[in-house]
Amino acid sequence: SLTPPKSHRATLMASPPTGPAAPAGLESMEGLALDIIIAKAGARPAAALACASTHLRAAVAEDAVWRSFCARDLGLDAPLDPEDRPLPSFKDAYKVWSESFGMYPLPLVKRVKLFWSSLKGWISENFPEALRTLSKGASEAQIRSAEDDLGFKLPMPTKLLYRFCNGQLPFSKNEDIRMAPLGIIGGYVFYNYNVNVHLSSLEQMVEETKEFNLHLEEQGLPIGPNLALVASSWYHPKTFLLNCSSGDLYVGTANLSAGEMMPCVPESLIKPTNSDMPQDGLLLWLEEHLRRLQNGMIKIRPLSTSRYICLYPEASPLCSSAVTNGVKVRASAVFVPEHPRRGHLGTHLYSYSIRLSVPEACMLGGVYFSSCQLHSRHWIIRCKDTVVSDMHGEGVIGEHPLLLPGQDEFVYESCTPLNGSSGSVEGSFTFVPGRLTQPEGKPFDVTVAPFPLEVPDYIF
Amino acid sequence: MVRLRSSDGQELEYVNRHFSDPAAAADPFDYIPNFDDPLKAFDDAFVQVDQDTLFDLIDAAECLEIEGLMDLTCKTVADQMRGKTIEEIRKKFHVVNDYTAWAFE
Repeated sequence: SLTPPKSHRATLMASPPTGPAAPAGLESMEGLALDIIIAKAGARPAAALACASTHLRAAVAEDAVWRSFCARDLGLDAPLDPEDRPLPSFKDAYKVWSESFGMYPLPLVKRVKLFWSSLKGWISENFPEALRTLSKGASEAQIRSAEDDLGFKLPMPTKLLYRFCNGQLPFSKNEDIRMAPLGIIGGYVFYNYNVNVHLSSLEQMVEETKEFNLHLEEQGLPIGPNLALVASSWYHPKTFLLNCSSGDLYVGTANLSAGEMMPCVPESLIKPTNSDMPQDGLLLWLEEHLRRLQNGMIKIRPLSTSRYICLYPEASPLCSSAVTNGVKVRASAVFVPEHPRRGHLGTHLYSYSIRLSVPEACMLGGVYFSSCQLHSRHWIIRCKDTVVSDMHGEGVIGEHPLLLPGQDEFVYESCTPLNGSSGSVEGSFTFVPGRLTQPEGKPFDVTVAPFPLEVPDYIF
Repeated sequence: MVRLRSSDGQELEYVNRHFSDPAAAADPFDYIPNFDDPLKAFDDAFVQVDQDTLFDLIDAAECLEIEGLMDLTCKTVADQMRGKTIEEIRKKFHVVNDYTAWAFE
């Protein structure tokens, strides 16, 4: 609200014009109007005003002025330094942040700061064991040193990302087993194929990029654009590469050793040279990943005794859901670009996750059953709209899950190749009320609603 | 009593114009027009005045508690400050540098 405090108004009303007219303008201005002008002008003009005269300096020294600049320019709502240490005033905070980050456009600083604080907030709440794997921010000197080692510059948004957090702790023989599932990008598991993507530190980036280039050289392949390896999977290999000239982000296919990779961020969004708000593939990719974590499209799942960020979609339209006679089936797929493909170019591999449960009760023709058991499956796979596979089989992944009402979902994963860029899977399961060894009624079919197989616009 | 030097007519005109616009009249003291609103063209022209008049308008807006006018006039002054050095600011706004005098006191 703009109602000025009483003292300001009293000053304005009570002072009669004295002697020759005082110069109208900045010097004779006080209180509310001056505060508003300073607030609208911004931090740089405010700093200039502070040097113009003692009266203006006093107006600018109000910490309220700097509190509002901190909020507006940096998204900072408490007087903290870049390492979260408290400072005596917002004015000090603005100064410290300007000195530390002034070489970047402030709107971008605010955006990257918001990204990291939101991601760390989500991780604290949902995946706290991963928090300790996130290193503190790198310094400008560390970034320059990495660029020198790489032989090329990193795009500005990526540098800022690393200023706030120098990736995750690298693979270390002592810790590898416990840290493996803690990738902040996460992954998937099907059969014995396990992927979990971690964000690399600058040091790891340099080391892996050099190895990759050496490998290309040894094969007589051209090194080409300035590619930095920014994220990679523990367990089975999966690598993300940032083209530091164009800002595009790529994921290596199974033929990465021959230089084969796919874009994993829509190219139209990449704006590496925009002066106010440059955005590169890494920033866009990470922001999209955070959105999916926040809106529940992807979630934490158990993995034997630990947990990991699981990339199978959990919500429509990518995850289908159907309930038949009380038996609920949810199903979704992920695109697996790095898996060695059987067959020719144009074959993609998808892994899907099927979740079975009886949320309330299993009912058939007015009769409730205490359990039901899966006997067989009918699976239809389409490429575009053409059926390419229509098969029946016993059980699922060699099992016949027994479902009891109210229990946690029975989840299994499998995979399928697809000779084309998009398709879908649907089908049904035949269940027996009671148990297979002791049926309590006639078998019935449970729908698996169609779910898509598509190369997504963002690949994780 | 605050005397408005040359702007009684001008400031009254702002209030009339904003009151006669249905959207602005709905919230006369807080309405700020969008960039494609014809009222914006009026506002832009309204503040094309000399500095003395501009500061008089600020005073009047503050006294009369017309938030929209306060916002418009303060923003105009603020825009004039951007990109200027300390000396340029002093010149433009007739600010006396009392730092040197103070140092000797």
